[in-house]
Amino acid sequence: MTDSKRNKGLGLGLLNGAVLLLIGALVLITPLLPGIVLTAQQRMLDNVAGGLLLGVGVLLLMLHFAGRKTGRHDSE
Amino acid sequence: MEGSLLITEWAMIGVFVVGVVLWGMRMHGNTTTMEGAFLAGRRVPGIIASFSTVATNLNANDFLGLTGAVYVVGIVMAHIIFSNGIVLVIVALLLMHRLRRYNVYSLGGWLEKRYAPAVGNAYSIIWTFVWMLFNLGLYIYGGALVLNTMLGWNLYLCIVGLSIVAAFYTLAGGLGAVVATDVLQICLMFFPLVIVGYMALHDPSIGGLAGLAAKLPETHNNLWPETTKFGSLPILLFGMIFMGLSYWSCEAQVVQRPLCAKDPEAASISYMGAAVWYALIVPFVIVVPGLCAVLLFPDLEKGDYAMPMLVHRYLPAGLYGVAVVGLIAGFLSSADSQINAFCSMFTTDIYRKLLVKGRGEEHYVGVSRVAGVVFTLAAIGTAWIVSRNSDGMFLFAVSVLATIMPPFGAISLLGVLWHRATARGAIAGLAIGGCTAVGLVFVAQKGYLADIASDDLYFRTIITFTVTAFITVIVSMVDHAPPEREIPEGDERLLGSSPRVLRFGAAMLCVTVLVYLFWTYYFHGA
Repeated sequence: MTDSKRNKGLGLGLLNGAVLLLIGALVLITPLLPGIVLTAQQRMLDNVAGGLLLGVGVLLLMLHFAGRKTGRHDSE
Repeated sequence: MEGSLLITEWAMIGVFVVGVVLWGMRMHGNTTTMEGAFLAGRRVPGIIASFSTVATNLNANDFLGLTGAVYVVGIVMAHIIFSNGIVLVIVALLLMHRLRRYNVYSLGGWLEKRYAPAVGNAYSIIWTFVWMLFNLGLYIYGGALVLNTMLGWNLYLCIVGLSIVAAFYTLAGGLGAVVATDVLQICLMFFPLVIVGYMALHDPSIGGLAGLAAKLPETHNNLWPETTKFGSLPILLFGMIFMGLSYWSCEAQVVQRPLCAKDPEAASISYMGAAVWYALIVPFVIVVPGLCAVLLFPDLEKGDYAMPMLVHRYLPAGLYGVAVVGLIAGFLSSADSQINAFCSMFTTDIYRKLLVKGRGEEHYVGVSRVAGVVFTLAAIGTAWIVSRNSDGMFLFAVSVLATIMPPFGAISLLGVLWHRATARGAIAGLAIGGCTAVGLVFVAQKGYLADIASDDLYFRTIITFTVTAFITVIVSMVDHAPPEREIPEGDERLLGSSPRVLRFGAAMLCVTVLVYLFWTYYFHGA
């Protein structure tokens, strides 16, 4: 195996994108859990923050896979 | 103060931990060479390295401890953060691009080439066997204590569990995994705290920055008081500058960031990008919450409880889990860097140079992994000792820091600024500077420095740094001129950076001045 094949980029888009997407989704789901009582403001905060995390996660994943198509590592 | 977690919040912790562990395994293929394992193949872009620098330096202890210090002492503690805006630019322009040009693995490697092997060895041995072991123990204990305080988790299980996770992905994936996870960790650390800072500042009982400054007691709302617990204002300011210069020049795990940068320009940017964080973002997630807590919770038993109280007050279920993940991230981002820096320095500066020479790269990478496991186990032991005597150990840690960093910081910067500085001068400076620092500790214990400051940390730093530089200059002047040495291209220029980096540095210094003016406008003690 050559070095160029063995060496991977840092994969920042994939790691950050996947984790932020999942955590964002979990934040959005939390107010829907049974027994959770939140004020309207707290619910809005969860929705905005969860949506932001999920959105950034999706964006990073899209950038990562777009970079793979063009053959560029997202850290280089 | 303890809060229980919902199933989704446990899942967030699971997603994060599994993510970083998988990343360590994914990056394993990049660690077959020493450069790959210890310095991520020296191909990290400057901006990513700057994120990693901040993540490495800030940890859970800072978010709780520094916020707590602001709660107890007041806005004057913000100088610690603001001064980094100046110090990081100076160190970036003078030292970091130079270290990168020499392709060394640590500051010890550069000190060896600049002065003599004895100087480099002294640095490597003191850092590897004294400071790093103790420091990682403190990181582990501090991170576990945060989780114990906020969530009621068993302290010793946290110590062992956090250490295993940090060591696993660091030793598997090397610095590449550390840098990649640092970027994720910095997002997760800052995101909930930015929300906490915003919500606290816009609380009706606070009323924004102007309201905060007007309502704070006089002891807390003056950025420029005549005296502080660290002594007079000049002692505090110069002490922080000298401590900052020493820390950012010498601390092994942060120096690894410019060393892993893809070129000398990126090495400088790795520090100057961190200066942007310290000047513009960190005050709003550490200083503002600490000051708001003075008004919102005036009777806290300990300053360290300020941030957990704010998190409980403002973050609803769901976001609270993100804050817990952020605190775990804060621990891991510092502990992983410490483990990788140890592996790098032990293997390249001690094992390969002093013990077993001439073996293949695979051998050294394998040895570094075994050393990393032993180091982590020893640090767990240190964390256990610290947990039995935390107050005394923290004071001891600060004393060790103020004793060993200023002498090495002084000779590093003198080595750049003055080509006439010789190896004998540096050795004499280190010896007498180190003795001065230790002597001052004993003098302080006898109470002779009580008139200068109730906490003499910065006074000792100024004296130690100055004595080391003075002795190095005097001995170098009477010594023979140092022999001509080979220097890489670009090293002959003092600042040695591209015009783009110099413009960035100048802009950053201007921004720092504006930051000081901005905060002085609100917090001038009137």
